[in-house]
Amino acid sequence: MENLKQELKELIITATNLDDVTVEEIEDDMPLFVEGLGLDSIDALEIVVPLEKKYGVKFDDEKKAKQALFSVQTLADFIIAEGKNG
Amino acid sequence: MDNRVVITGLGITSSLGHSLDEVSSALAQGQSNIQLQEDNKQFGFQSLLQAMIPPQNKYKIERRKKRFLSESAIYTALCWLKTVDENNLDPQQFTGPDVGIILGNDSSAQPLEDLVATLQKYKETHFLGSTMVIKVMNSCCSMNLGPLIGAQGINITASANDASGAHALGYAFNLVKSGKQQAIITGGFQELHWIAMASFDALGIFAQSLEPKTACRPFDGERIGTVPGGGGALLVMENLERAQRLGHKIYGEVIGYGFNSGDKSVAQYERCMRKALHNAKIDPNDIDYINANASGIAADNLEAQAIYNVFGPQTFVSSTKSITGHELWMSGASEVLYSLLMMRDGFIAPSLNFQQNNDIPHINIVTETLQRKPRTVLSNTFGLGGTNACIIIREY
Repeated sequence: MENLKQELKELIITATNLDDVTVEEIEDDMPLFVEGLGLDSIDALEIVVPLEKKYGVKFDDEKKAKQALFSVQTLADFIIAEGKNG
Repeated sequence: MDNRVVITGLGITSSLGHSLDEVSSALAQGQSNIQLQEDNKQFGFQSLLQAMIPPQNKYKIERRKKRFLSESAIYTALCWLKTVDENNLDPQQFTGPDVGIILGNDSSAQPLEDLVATLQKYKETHFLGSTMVIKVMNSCCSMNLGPLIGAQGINITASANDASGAHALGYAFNLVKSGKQQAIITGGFQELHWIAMASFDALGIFAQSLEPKTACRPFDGERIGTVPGGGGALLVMENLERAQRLGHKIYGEVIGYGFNSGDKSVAQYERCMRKALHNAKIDPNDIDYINANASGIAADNLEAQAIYNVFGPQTFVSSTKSITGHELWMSGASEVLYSLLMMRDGFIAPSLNFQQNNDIPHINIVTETLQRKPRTVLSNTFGLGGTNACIIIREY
């Protein structure tokens, strides 16, 4: 779980070019969008695509996707529950 | 009936620096930043020479905006920030339908490299994300600048090889002159990415020399090719009445635009310069400085002959490409900007590395900086594919 969360933080930083944010600064429960990390819908697409590829999850269900993308913690829970290779 | 057209803002990103003062001082001192680009060895470039853009950290583009920007669109955004900052312009005055954008650009190679690599790796287009589409188009600079500043008039890119920037200025001039737009943000942009340069290198037009200082020799008998450069040059064109009403500083007036296309010949070059003079309603002897197109390639001789035919042996001539390298899509715009800086600061920049050429008639090539203010300037752009544009600017 801890390794997965670390991986997810790295992926978020790389996919969205968050040059001025480090892995340590992203807290597990911090909201990723709007407040918290401050990502937007364009960033969401940049994150979702590599997540689908890497962990075999699908973000097709809008309600589920919204819950999963709330924080690093919810994302890790989602991948463990639904991922094919997580 | 026609409006007078003036230039009220300048912004530059080039191998000569990141501010108007830095660039003007490098021009006055004939100080180039041409170096060897060793990275290009891996792709078998015949010439490794490149005019390098120095790093800067004064101006920053916010991450959210940067996602949509290609290399040349980054230069555009930086040039706008500099233009507003250096000329004390109020960005609010450049919003709405009276303000247009016409920029010169003819490639966006760096995103294309990312696009191909991503598709080859993942084999699915949705991996390109939503920001690729605007980065990969030739119109990446103009399409990004519109929303960035809120201008809602015309928004187009002129693509005409190395005459892109000059034609962009010409179109902007005509639209402001005829009153169809009150102001136009115009200019030219050139990425330095190796893909944009490789096909030119293939033609053997870049100087194959390991001596950066002496490689680019416009008009010289021993010239061996040009040197690629890049960055961005942004100019704010406004109708005179608006500029005065808003209290803007005036760098100079645009008075003529001549254009033609066809074979590369003395006759075509001559015709293009005469068309600009006719458009400006002035005589050849009203021009006191010609910023030549010459870049160190074979066609320099044609331009020298054409200049002689129209202007004779007296008019001062220099090629700033000897200092900046050939800024390709950007060159027609940047060279008007460089000429305006000479007008502002009272000098004529030298044409470096010209010694002698027995195959051209005597024209007055300036080889050492002249402490003399050019008042009426002709800026020549004769594109590699035979598309020509001449712009005339005058002290206001």
